Amino acid sequence: MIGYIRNMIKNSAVDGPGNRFVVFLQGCQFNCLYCHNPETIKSVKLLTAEEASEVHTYSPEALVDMILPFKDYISGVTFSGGECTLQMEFLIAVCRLLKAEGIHILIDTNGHMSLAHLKTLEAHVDGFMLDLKALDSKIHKTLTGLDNKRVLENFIYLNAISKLYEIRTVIIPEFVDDQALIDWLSAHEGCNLRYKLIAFRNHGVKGEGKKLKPPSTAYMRSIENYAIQKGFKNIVLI
Amino acid sequence: MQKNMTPMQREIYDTITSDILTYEMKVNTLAKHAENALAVLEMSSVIKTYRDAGIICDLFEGGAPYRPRYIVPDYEKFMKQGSAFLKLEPANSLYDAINNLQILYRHVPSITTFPVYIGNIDLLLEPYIGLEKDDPNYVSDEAAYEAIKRFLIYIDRTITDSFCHANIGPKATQTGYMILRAERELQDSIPNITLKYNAETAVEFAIDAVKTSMITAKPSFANHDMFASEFGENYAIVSCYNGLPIGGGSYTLARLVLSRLAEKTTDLDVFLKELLPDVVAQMIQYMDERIRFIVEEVGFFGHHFLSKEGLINYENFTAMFGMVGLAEAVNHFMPEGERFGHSEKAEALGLQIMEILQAEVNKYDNPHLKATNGHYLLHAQVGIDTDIGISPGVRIPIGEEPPIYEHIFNAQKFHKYFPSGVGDIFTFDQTVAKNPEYVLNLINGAFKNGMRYISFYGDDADVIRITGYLVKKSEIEKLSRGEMVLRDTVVLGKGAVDNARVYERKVRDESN
Repeated sequence: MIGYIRNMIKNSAVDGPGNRFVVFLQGCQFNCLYCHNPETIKSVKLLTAEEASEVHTYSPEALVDMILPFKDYISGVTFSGGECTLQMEFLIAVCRLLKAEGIHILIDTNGHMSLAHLKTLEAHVDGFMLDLKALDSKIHKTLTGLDNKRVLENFIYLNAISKLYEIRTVIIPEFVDDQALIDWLSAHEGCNLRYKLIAFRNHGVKGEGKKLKPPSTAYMRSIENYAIQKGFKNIVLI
Repeated sequence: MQKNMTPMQREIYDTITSDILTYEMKVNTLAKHAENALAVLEMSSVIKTYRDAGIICDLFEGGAPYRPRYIVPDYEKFMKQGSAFLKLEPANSLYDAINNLQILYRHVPSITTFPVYIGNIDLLLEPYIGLEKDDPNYVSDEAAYEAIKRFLIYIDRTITDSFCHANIGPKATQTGYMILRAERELQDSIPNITLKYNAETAVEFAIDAVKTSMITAKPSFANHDMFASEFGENYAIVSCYNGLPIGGGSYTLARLVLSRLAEKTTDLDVFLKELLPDVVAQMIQYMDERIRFIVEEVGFFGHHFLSKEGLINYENFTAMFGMVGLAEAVNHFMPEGERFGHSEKAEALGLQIMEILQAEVNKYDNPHLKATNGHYLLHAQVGIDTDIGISPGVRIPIGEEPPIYEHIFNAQKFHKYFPSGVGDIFTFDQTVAKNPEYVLNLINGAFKNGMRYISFYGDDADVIRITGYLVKKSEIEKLSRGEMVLRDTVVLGKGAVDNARVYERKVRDESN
């Protein structure tokens, strides 16, 4: 069994609690306008030879061997991407090995996997960091290329089993329906979650995304205040 | 003005007429001039040559040492018994306890004339906090906090030298939390603080300590299990980061500048087999003579009240063999591209030098070093303000710091040699400052794998760690404008900033 790894960061202060070893897997179903890692989107099968040379292949054992020297120094491992759950079989194999070592695991996901897949994966990991990009399905589709039916279903499931470490929304004024999303999350018992509100930045964004407007600090504060009014208690502005 | 002054008279005159030294600094400097008027220490011509070449450096200890360099009083004993000499009864209340300590601090000698250790202050004060309301000595938590905050202000404004060191931990206490809170509010450079840290330290307390250090560069974290395995539980972290026995101290600390010794030859074999053994023999002879003078000629233990009242004990004293410039010494012998901190070969040579240095130092016995079976303890000295191109102890030079894991892995290999002190310093940006658990994860890993001592601060802090001591950047600016400053260590800090590129220390962000 082989996993396709785009990149690894041995110490990260921004991918979960404490110090995380982060593994970025190749491939994503979404094609977000504001993606900051567009090189991770393409499915492995579609990569050109040159692109493929930048993707590294690992067996589950080989990947775990990369992580273990840092075990004493991290709070755990975060799998990100791309969308790491696209390589589900490999991911679960790695998680089994990491769990045998007692290592904490978080999955950074776009939430588009099927509920059946999610239920399988959930048993092997400690938590999820879920992107909620928009509430309105059409907006979501414009932004990512796909609708958000599964994302919202998966949010409800993960929240019900208390496995959401963090939810995130990238704020783009006049584009993302931020207030409606906050209303929905509030109505679906999301208020106790750690909610990261990320200001859209067009630096490094290509194509159509370049035209999107970054929020002002004042706008970010207004959204934070709105979320606080709606009952959110743990908001992180980035 | 008197004509035809001798050099010493000239120095004394300059001290007296300085418009930048405080009155207290003048008095202390004049005492140093007086001490240096004597030539009572026997010194061979070989030692003189090494000293003149700056290879052996006595760190301005003076020509006639009249007290041990570092004194580590047993403050717990003092709290229990008071002091007959100072006419102090054991304290019953928090206010008396603080008052007693403040009085004792004025009478603890050291190389700096200020106490380099002021106690495990959380444990000293904890018994006086959280009493029952009907207890005659009851103080509310808020009143206790205010008293502790004033105690810390008193220390900062009267012990005007940042080699003054308080310890806290390893267990969390109410007082410990109050000290951290007060330090975050005060952001003063004095006292230096170390958290003795191990698995017994509550995570919440350790996180609070990390947050405090991001703001005000203290506390540092000491690997409590490592120190306790060498000294037993009864040790303290004093001055910069020196591990020493409580109720004792260190007579002296001279330092060997390895980089300058290395420059004497291009032949590594000569360096390892001839120069190193010779300089160690000479430096130990020099320190032996200093110790003889303090113990046998000055008779310090016979007349000082700390000794008479059992707050220090001759049996608990040792002395420190300092070294600096390992990185530069290694680089001197390595081919281009194999630099210390970036090359396994360079690291291996560093370890080889340390093994030889340790073995050579341990060959010698001094009967006065009772606390350490007659042996000197190795010490990774933090440098002095005039050092240029000489890295502290075994540190990787500023400007050449590798990514954080490589940096820590390197330090882990070298810290074991230095029970009497070694440490590394990291600067973190604000992304890291928001994630204190990240720093704690790194500390946990590093301590589990042999790192002894770690300090850090946020990149926007005013209080920063220079090499081992703390200085406020705003005070350095004041001094640079020619204004008088209260704390003598600001002068040293300014020198280190000018000469050792302290402001250029690598800032670690979210992933480097």
